[in-house]
Amino acid sequence: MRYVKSKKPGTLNITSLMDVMTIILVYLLKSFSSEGQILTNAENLVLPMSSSRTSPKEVSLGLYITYDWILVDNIPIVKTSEVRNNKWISSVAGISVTPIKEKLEKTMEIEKNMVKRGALERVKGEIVMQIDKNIAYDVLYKIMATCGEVGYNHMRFAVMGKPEGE
Amino acid sequence: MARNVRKQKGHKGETGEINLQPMMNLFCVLIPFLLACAAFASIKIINLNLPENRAVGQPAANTDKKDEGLLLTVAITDKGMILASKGAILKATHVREYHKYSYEHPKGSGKKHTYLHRVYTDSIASAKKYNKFDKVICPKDKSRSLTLFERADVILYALTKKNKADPGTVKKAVVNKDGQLVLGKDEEILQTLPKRGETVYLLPAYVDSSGFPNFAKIIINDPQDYEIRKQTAYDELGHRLCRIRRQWYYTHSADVETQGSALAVDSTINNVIVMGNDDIVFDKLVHVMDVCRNFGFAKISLAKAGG
Repeated sequence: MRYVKSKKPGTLNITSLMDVMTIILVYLLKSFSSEGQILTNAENLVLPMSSSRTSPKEVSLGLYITYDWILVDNIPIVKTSEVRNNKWISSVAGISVTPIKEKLEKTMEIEKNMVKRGALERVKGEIVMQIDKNIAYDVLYKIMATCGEVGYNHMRFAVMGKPEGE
Repeated sequence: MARNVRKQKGHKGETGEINLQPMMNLFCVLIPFLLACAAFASIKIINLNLPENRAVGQPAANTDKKDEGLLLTVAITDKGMILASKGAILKATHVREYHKYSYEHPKGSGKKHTYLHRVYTDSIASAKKYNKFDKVICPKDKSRSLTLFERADVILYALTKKNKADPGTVKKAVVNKDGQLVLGKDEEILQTLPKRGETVYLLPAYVDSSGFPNFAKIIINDPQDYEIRKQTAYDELGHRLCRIRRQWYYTHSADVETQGSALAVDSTINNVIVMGNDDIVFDKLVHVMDVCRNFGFAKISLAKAGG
């Protein structure tokens, strides 16, 4: 049968546009993460790039080492340069940084109390560190030692993941 | 009857297109929304394999020598990287360090410039040039120095040195179009472009922590597909780690077959210790950890050298 041309004004053929849109939609839906961000990037801090694929699963205590300050739970505790210059090192044998140790002991106490009340199953001792990429290992090491001494043994480093597919 | 109705409909109604406009409307809303939500660079986590419940700095309570396994250690210092294991040390990788700065000039104008700053850490060969702690002067504006926030990247090139006083030359590496390193017949990284018909091997970019690292064998068809670039210390580290892993599989292939998996033969096969000294920046540490993880050494511990 012959197609009879209608006298209506021609409409825009949007089928190809639809194809494009569908592909974009599927791609975006795939990359859409429903979990949201558990970790947020601290200010004044550049995280190093890494090829790690492990995503943070739960919220834990955050420790931030920026170029100026060291923060625990978003509260500035000591200056980074002071840690580098051994100002707060407590004893000869220990390498822990006293103010940070005190702060961490408090948070540890809170966690223990939560276990007593049944809010938590056990003391997890998890801590996520966000460290500026130009921080010297010396500072990092002292902070890690402090965390370990208090009982935060499950340390994790936050890094910038590379975009998927690279 | 029903047949008739259908027939009639088919004749009467035009075989027009579906009205796509509502769907388009929906898409136009959905796509910007999803674009806004999409997280292209997300924060990831590096897990550390640290000993439980003992303070760092104290010796482990019950060290069983048999359980230590290979004790593979990567040591990083300013001068290079050293790969060592129980009873053996590989030749050190000497490095030349560059800091890539990305800065604006004039400030606030949005015009980006990059500047490659060479870092001299070797005080023996170039005593006067030792500039590790010097301020980096902005090349376009001598009155200010570049800050650490403007440092975009730390680049470490691998060097060949004839002797201690030799400043060294940067090693080359041949890569294919995907950036994979090309190895020669002796499984060393190729320094010159291969010829047509030559048999080469490809270093895998990623090795599963439970699998044998295969070198893909290829015969060069078109040398134009390959290019030479400077070899970084991370290239060399990855190459060495991969070969260590292969060697382990060669010597333990019978055990792996009988026991099922490599982990059953040696539970420490994926362990690696990353060791740094005081001044190593976190960026380098993460990069080394990445290389280790990419080549199957996923259980990373940290150690500190000296001080």
